Amino acid sequence: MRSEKNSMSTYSGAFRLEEARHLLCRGEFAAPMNRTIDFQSQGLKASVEQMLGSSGKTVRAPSLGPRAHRVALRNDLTSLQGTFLLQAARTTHPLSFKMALFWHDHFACGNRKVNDLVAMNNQMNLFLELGLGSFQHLLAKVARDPAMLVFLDGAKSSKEKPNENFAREVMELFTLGEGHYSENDVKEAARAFAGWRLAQGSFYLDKQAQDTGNKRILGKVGNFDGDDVLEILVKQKSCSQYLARKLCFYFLGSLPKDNEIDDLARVIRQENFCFREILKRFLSSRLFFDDRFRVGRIKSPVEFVLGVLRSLEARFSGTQLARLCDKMGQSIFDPPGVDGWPEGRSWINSTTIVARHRFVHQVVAGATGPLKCRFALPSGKTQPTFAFCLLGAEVSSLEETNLLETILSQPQAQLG
Amino acid sequence: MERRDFLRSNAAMALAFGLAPAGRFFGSESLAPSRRLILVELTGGNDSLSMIVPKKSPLLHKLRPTLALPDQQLLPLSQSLGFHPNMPSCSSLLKKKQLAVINHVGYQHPNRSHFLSMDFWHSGGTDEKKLNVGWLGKALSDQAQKRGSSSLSLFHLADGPMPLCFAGSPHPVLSMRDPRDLKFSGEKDSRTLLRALVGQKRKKDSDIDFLLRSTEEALSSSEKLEGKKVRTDKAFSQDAFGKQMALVSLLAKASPGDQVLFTRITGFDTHSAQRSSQPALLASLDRGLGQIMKALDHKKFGSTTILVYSEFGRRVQENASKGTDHGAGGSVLVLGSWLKGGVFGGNMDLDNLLDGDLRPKVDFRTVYHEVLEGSLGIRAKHLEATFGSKLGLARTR
Repeated sequence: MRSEKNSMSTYSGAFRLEEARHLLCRGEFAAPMNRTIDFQSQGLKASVEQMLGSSGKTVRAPSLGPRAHRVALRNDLTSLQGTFLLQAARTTHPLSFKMALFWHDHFACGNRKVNDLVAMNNQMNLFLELGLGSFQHLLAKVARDPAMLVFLDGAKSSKEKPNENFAREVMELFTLGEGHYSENDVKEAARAFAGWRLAQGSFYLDKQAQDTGNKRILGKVGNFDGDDVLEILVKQKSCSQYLARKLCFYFLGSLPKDNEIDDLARVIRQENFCFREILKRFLSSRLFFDDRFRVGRIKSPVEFVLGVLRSLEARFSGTQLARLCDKMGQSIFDPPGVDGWPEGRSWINSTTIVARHRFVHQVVAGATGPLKCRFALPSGKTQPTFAFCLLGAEVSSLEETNLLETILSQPQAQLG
Repeated sequence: MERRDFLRSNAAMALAFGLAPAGRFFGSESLAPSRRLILVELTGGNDSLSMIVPKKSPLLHKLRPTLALPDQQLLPLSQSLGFHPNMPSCSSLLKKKQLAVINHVGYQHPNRSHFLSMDFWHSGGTDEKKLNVGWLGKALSDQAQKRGSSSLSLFHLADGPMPLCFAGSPHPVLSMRDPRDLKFSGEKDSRTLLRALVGQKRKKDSDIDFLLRSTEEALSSSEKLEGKKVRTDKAFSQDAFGKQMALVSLLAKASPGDQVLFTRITGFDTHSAQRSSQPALLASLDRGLGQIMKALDHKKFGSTTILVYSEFGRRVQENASKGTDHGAGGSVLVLGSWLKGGVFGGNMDLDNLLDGDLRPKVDFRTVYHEVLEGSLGIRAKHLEATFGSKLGLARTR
């Protein structure tokens, strides 16, 4: 049932430069001036299709490629982060990277425990390649992903002494949310995952360590194995609602009303948890363009940095950038906890705000600064449009001499 | 609405961390001797049974065949308990009656989620709908309403976001990991530009306001701290906790007045190979505690109180991975010269477990209540115990 009241119905208001900018800032990392003007002229539907890569003939699944693998083999975290940032800044599929970061936060694994950058890089490729596909498929892959098996100790669980770490987090953080399962569900699910193992960096099933007895999980009884448990979890209504809340938080910056979350949860179920289709409807929805969510989302460090660089179409060195992001509080491949990074105003404190201003300063310093950043500023006539695309607001006095630093130092540069 | 979502929502954050006017840190000299409370959070759920170890307990060795430490390796604590071998400073502080070990601390109906349990510890309650105000923030705000504002400063010295325990405080929070973090890029220009920007008009408590105030605060603190370094302080270890303690010491010297400082050691979520990680963490904790207690001589720098806690203890029985899973009650350490010292909350009761975990018998609020009164002289009504009895941590005068 799709009535007028449904917040997931297609947005039918004006699609001006402002709306094109909103779509690009949230769906991607930035609204580069030319791309924003193109989006405005082609309209909402074509723009969303272009972002999702479904209008072109071939959609190359992006992955970080052989270079990243070589860096990972050297076990150099900063360089791997730099490689990721460089590719995200240049990609023609920014939405895939935006979703990869969403899943990296959702299924947060940190290298400080995994201690294997090849596994971390492979996991990121999983997010890039499957991040717009089916959630069930992604969840099943992630559950047996080597980095995850190490991070949540899945690989060390056995029938005699099941390890509860993965069993708990798969319910609390990946599918249902706290309060939608019992302690007993955790204990029983842990039995079902016993025997999932790693050998030479690959998943295998140790039948000896499996628990083939009956388990009772979320009201169902049977001789469930790990995959059965994942299936049971995704079928819970609370799973679609949990994912709906996470999507809203990520793309809107705050939570809408309960009935609006229900609307999105229904879309998630209708589209059978396929994220390409879910995003197609979400990014075109009345909810997405609602005035309540046009402002008030503080960019993560990676979004801020990528936003500036993509807006300027800049070329730069990666490792320096990775260090700056770390100072701003975000170290890709190494989130601070099992629940990923804290969001919103939590990103900002006296230390991180200085790091953000330091980054701006280094960008402005250009090729002579440590970031070795090269870009070309647009000519005088288009500068107000350029500033609007960057900030979503007019800047009162633009002086030619200090133009870029003035724009990027505005508080609005942190939002989007 | 979900708890995490609520905490993360901007409305809640605005309520929680409305910034106070800038420039309050490093203010004028105060005449009263300063008092400071250092919070040390052991994130991930510290296995307190390996920190405060029961002696002569065949049951412990039965439940923990690989993890239980032999009695002869333990350092002196009491007749029936011993400190982990990596905790010599704590053992000697206990002997000097400057340390209290409180066992079986927790809350009723333990929650084994890291986040919810930590949020309970920070909010000082177990009501999921009241996780937007911190135990300390509320105490300070009640105090300010009763007595008027005082010159207390809050410092967040750990990685990561602002701790929830500060939320609701009328005092500003300065967060930093190193004085160099507050250094703007060389040129004077960028600071001049930012100074002009922070004066602009905006809607109170909007994101723009929040961002501008943060910038303003950073600008002002960066000037005050210019040229100060902590890395060269040889009195402290060079690991992450040592650096935080060095910063505590620097701030005690640079910023007069009462202070609460939040610090943290991460990595206590030892589901597997606990022996390969927890001992080093305990060693780092012990070194840092010993070094800061030594550096901040109370005649010169006023009184120092330290509270060491974790979101929960760990399951008594070890798992197949030579680790331990999430548990319930745990042990808390309190350090300070106002203490009676010794062991509180009884010895570890392994015969009477709650679903395989140590039973919470001491209300965590009691600990906060007595520590807050002993360290900063603040009586907080909302932190009175809801179960168990008072501890009597303070020496009777």
